[in-house]
Amino acid sequence: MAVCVAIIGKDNSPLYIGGIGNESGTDNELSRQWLVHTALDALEERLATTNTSNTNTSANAARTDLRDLYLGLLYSTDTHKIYGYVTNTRIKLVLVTSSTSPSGSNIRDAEVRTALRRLHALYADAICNPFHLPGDQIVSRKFDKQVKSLMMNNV
Amino acid sequence: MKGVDNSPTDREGMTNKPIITCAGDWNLFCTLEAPLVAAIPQDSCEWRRSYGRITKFVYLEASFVKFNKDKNQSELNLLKRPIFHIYWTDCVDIEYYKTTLREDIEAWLKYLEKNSITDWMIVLVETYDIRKTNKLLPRTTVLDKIKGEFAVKQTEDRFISVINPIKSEARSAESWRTLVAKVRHFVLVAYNKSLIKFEEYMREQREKRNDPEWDFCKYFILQEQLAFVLEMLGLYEEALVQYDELDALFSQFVLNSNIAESPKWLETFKQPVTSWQAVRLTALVPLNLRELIIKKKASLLDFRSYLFQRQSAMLLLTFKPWEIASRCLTTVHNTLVELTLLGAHAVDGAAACWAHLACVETLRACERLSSTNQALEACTAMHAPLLHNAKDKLHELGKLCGLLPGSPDPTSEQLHLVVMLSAGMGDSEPNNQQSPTDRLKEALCSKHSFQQYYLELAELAMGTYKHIGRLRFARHIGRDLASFYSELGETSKAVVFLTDALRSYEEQGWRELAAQTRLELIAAAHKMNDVDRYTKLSARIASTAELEILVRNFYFEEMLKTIREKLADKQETVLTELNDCFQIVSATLLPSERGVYITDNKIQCRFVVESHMPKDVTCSRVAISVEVFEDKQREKRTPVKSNKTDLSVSVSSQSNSPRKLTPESTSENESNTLVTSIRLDDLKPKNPLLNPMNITSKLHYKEDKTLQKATVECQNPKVTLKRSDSSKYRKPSATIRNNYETCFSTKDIVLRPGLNEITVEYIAKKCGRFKLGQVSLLVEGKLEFLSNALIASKMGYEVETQGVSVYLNKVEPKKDLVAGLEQEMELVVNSGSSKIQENATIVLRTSTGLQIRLADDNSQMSREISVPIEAIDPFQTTKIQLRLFANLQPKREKSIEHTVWLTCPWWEAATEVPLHFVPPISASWRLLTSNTRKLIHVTLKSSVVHPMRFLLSNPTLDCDANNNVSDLNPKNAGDLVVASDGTTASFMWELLKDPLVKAGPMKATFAVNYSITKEGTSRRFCCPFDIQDYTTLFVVRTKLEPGKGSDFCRASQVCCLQLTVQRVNETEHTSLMYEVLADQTMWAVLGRTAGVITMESRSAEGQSVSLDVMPLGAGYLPLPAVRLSKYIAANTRDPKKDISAHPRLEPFSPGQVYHAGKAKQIHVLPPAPKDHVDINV
Repeated sequence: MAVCVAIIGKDNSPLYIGGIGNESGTDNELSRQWLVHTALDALEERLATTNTSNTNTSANAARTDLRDLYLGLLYSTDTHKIYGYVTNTRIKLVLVTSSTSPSGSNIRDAEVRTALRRLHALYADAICNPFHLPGDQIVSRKFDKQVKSLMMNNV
Repeated sequence: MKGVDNSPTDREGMTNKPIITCAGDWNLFCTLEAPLVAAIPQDSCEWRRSYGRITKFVYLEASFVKFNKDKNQSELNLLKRPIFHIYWTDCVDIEYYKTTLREDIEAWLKYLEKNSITDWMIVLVETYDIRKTNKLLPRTTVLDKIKGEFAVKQTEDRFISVINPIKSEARSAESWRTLVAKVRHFVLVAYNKSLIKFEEYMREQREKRNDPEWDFCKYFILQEQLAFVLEMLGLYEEALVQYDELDALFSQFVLNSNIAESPKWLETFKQPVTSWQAVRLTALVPLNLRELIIKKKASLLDFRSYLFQRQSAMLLLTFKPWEIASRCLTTVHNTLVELTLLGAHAVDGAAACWAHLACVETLRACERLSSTNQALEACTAMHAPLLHNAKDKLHELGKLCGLLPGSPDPTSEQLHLVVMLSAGMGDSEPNNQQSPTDRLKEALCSKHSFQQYYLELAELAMGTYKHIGRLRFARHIGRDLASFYSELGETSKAVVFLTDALRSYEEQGWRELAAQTRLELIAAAHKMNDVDRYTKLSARIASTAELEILVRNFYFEEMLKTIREKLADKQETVLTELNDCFQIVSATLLPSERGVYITDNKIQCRFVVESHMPKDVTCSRVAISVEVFEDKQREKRTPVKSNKTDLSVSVSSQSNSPRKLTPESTSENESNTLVTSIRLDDLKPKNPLLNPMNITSKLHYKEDKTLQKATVECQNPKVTLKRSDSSKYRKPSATIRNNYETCFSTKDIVLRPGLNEITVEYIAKKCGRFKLGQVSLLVEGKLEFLSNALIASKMGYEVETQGVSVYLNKVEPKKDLVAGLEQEMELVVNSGSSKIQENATIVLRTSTGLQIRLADDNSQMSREISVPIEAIDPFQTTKIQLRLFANLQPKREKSIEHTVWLTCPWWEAATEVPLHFVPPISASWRLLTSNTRKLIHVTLKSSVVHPMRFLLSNPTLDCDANNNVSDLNPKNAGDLVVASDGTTASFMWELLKDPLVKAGPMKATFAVNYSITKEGTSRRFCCPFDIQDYTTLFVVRTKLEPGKGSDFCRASQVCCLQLTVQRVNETEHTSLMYEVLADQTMWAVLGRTAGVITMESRSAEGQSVSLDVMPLGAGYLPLPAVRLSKYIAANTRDPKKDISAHPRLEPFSPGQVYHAGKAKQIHVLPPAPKDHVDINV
């Protein structure tokens, strides 16, 4: 389903970047990192607009806005679509799908939402490790495996 | 239609106005058509729709055609089919109606009924006639007749009469308005009906979409009719929904075709793409494309273009240009994906052309609209991605056509491709402005114009991204630009973009991106032949863990190569940041053997460095600069003078260091203390997330003591939730080299990958407080890595100079110095941290009465000697034995104070050493009297505290010339000893003089020789004293006699005390007072105890006084003492004498009055028994 997921910390530094897929041509690990990196711009823009709308609109609307951590499609390129999700502690989850692959092009918003929610859960599990220092990169092999399977899941 | 430049009326032959047929009197209608057509769109009409859809107010237009029986349209053709039918007549004559008109109407209605048309109206045009209005029976007009004939209840309002406005305009207004309103109303009712029918049919068609025979193109045209109608009615949003539905349907088909079997109709869109004309974003319907769709000759791009143009048209009409912009990208992306999915053949670059043009056209359309619109801001946000995409596509085209800088001249194939692509774009619209198509064609023609266009787009995109705050996108474009510029040969421009990007990646910890950018930068540096940068980057890349080891090794070798080949001639080293390639893990100052660091001694610092280099690297020098540690509080304090020493006889430590801090300064100096060992990890601020939270559990109870809730509460939410500033990335600017004149250093160290322990050392020259500064690793002699990591750590040390110290010590510290004896002392010289040169001498001067000499030679004692000091190494001590002799002064003092001044060559001022001596012995004397004989008693004792004994010999007492003494001392006085354990020695002399001659005051000097040992040199001790008033003047005798009738003195019996005062020598004191000082426990004096007697000056006869005294006890009682004093009476006539109102007493000196009976005792018997007396009673 996804070709890349990334977890980005509060300070916008990457905590985890995992990708699958062929390492050829334009679709390699590095190019996906560029995508994720630039996605942060769109993501922050989205957060800023929700914040300003929070102040403008009524409290109820603001609350529902806040509760929905899924930010939807951040932007797309010829080959990829980038979706965003932000936790309440401003940890950003980014999911990249490939629009050239059959599974990626046909993906539904709801699927992405579910996938990102699951990723959030996995992340929460990973940082519950008492030996993990908050703010450090996630190096857990188990987490990596789980994320990879999450990405493969709908393929 | 306001604001849109193209009004619907001049669309290319497409009129989607509702068609209304006119039957009956066509000529009549022709006169009315113009005002009617004009009147209908003038006002809005409420459109009520079924299925609970929202009621809208719509403006209508209409076109009228002559009713034609033969021209019947299918009701599924929404556009061509007449929607409404009107029968016009101006018949006023009932007769005429009955004969012809009625039949005509009937036929018309029948026809309508046959075709199940219910939307019709019959209009009777009347000429205004004043008479008619007065008619009482209205049901006699033609209209009434028609109504009566044809109307049923539901259709009654479809018969209307109108006053001909042409003939009488003034009167017709009311009826005319009614007519127009009715027409509008009925048209809308008709539309509602037909749309419902149509939608039903449409749904039916859509449901069949999985039929193999189903055709999307047909369906598209079908559903589009609905969109047209909605558009015509001004319901652009709903029209857009129709298009969006079609869009989604199509996309789904294409996507599914990838997975499942694709339907037959999809083959249409797989046909080769021959045209990639720019989309034209106007409200016009691009009929040529529509034709193609209808004819199933549209390629995918044609179809997509058409659809996008129609969607944009709807958005244009609703003034939402930003929406167009945001849809544009999605459309472009989707189309490109679909193109690949369908595998439609197209010339390379056709899609890119199309996408580029779509983006640029959209931008143009947005700009056109935004300039007149406030939505400019919303548009700008969408512009940037469009520009970005346009730029990317242009780049793609440039690559295909060989237009990129640095590429060889285009081949003939590439030139052919340019021609192909230009042809496919078609001709631009005949317009004065340069269209995007023209621009693209121009750009593809030459390298120069391509570059110009590309740079223009890229800079614009970057600027727009920056404007909307998408800096990361801007940097991304910056990288593209950098590579473009770099190909263009303008590497310096490229470097600017790359460093900018690099900084932002590093700031946010995107190390892999940073590494990649660095690789690009190094390529640029290589091109620019920037050796410094190239070397630095090579080192950095070689130590980047994110990169592959092959790359790292390559750049490692490159680094060494450039250092050797290109930097060898350079004088200065290339400076770079240490922390990029190495990491200082910890640093420790090794403690000195002496506890403190002392000048001219080695100070060592051991630090651990982690090398990130892939291979061993040789450091030709490792150094840490040293800085003076300044601290403000210290500066305020007056510096301790370096040679001011507190020299005292007692041992005192001499140090120049200000280390002995006063208690309050140690507490306040906490921030100023230097650390000697750090791990750099410890310097990092502690992660606040690792602090334990102060959380307690709490149970809350209800009023009835049942548990209400259990909560976990954080006691210090402010602390826990405190906002911590996210650590901002600071660009380390260590490229300023510190002063390494004083530094810890070592040479030629091989740093292996991983942890290395390096010990650097430094010989301290100055004293003071220093801290470690910059760390420098010099690799291969030319590349110098600098780090300021240690500067903030306040890691430092303190160097002290231990100056030369000189003490004058007692050899035996516990013993006092004794005057009058030679005393041993030693001069102790400690060289401290410096060497004492040869020929140094210390000059000692003493105060008066103190003499000094060196112990080892028997030179003369003197008040000033110079002591040569032998040359000694640091931290050595030399001792010089000295002898001191303090003269004994005839004064009887407890201690004698002396001072020694030391003048040393290394100090400017002389040092004062106070010394105090104690005299060895002290003498005391007493004058003893026996009647008129006088004796002098001298007692000697030692005043030295420590155990010491003196042998005394040859005591003498010398008097004034006219006095003689006779020595009563035994002749073996040499054995006499005086010691500090309390042993004393006494000597006695009798003063030989005529007792009857009154002598004046005399001076006497006692002298005795003393020595420590019998053989030792003996010195003389002198003690002068004065003797005054020592001649005996009076002798007092006392005698106790028993009372009368008694033989013995008995207790409690009155006795008689006989007191005799005899003058033995001449004296002027004749008036004397006696006082009997009886011990009141032994004696009771009866009567007067004192009295004044006057002695005859000439008579030697004594005066006698008897007193009654009573002994109080029995035994041997001492006689009461008598004191004799000079009595000076009051009111003495002698004016010289002190005139006082009262008489007074003056005592005699001891020795002037001799008490003969002083030690006499008398035996007192107990009281006589009184037994017989008692019997008598």
